[in-house]
Amino acid sequence: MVELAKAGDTGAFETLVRKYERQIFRTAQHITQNREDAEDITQDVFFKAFQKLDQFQGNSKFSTWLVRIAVNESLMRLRKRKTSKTVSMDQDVETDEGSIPRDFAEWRPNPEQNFSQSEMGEILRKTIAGLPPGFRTVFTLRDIENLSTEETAEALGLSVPAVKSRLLRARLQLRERLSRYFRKTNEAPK
Amino acid sequence: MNCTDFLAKLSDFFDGTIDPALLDEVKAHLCSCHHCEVVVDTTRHTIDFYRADQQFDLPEPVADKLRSAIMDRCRTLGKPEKQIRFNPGTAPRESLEKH
Repeated sequence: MVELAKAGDTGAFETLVRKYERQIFRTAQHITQNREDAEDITQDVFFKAFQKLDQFQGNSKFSTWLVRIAVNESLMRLRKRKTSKTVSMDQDVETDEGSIPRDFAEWRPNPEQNFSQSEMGEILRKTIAGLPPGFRTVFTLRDIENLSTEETAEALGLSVPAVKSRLLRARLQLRERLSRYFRKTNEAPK
Repeated sequence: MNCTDFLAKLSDFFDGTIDPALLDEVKAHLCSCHHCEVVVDTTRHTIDFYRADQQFDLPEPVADKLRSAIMDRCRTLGKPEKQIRFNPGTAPRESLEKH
């Protein structure tokens, strides 16, 4: 199908759009945390892919190539939102936060019993939105979109050890931040 | 194995890619260290919560409009002044809400 699209078959390209549009939309929304931005980015990703189809050599999966474009477009969108701050895969990843667990409180009863579905959703959204983009992106691709470590590394232009390191720290930072809400005592969030 | 060694192996443990030779050591540490047991349990919950919650849906009508806009832009490639963008504001209201 990719070869047909490269040969100029727009019908084949439309089939590819149909196949991957949801994955690209989700990836963009995870990174930007904004639905309208994700809709715009989805358009831009496929348009750019169409323009640059001849540069796709088939050394990676087509979906990984699209995800890479989506990540770049999403980070660019975040950069535009924060005109005075740089937003990149490397922003804030040097932080030590979460690298050493500090909160050992258990989450019992299960947080889902203590919070309504909408409250849970709000807590999860606020928490992941506060994560540095470089960590949020790795967590999204690996743990939510289920890309392999190698695919994530390829999509982000990182080494496999860098992906592993960022994934661990992203998971621990999210855990630590959620713990402020879900610890079994009824303390208010810090 | 101490807590620092365990933490270094945590992601491999979750992802099932841990060296089999280390698995028994990891399990033994977990049995003897309540703090690490809590970290594993709550981190697993963290991942599960996000997997369940952050499945952003793209309703079919919105997907159709997006695809149509994408293909219109592709067909007018090279003529930026004719590029057509799908305005999310024109999407059905339900498409703008999280599903």
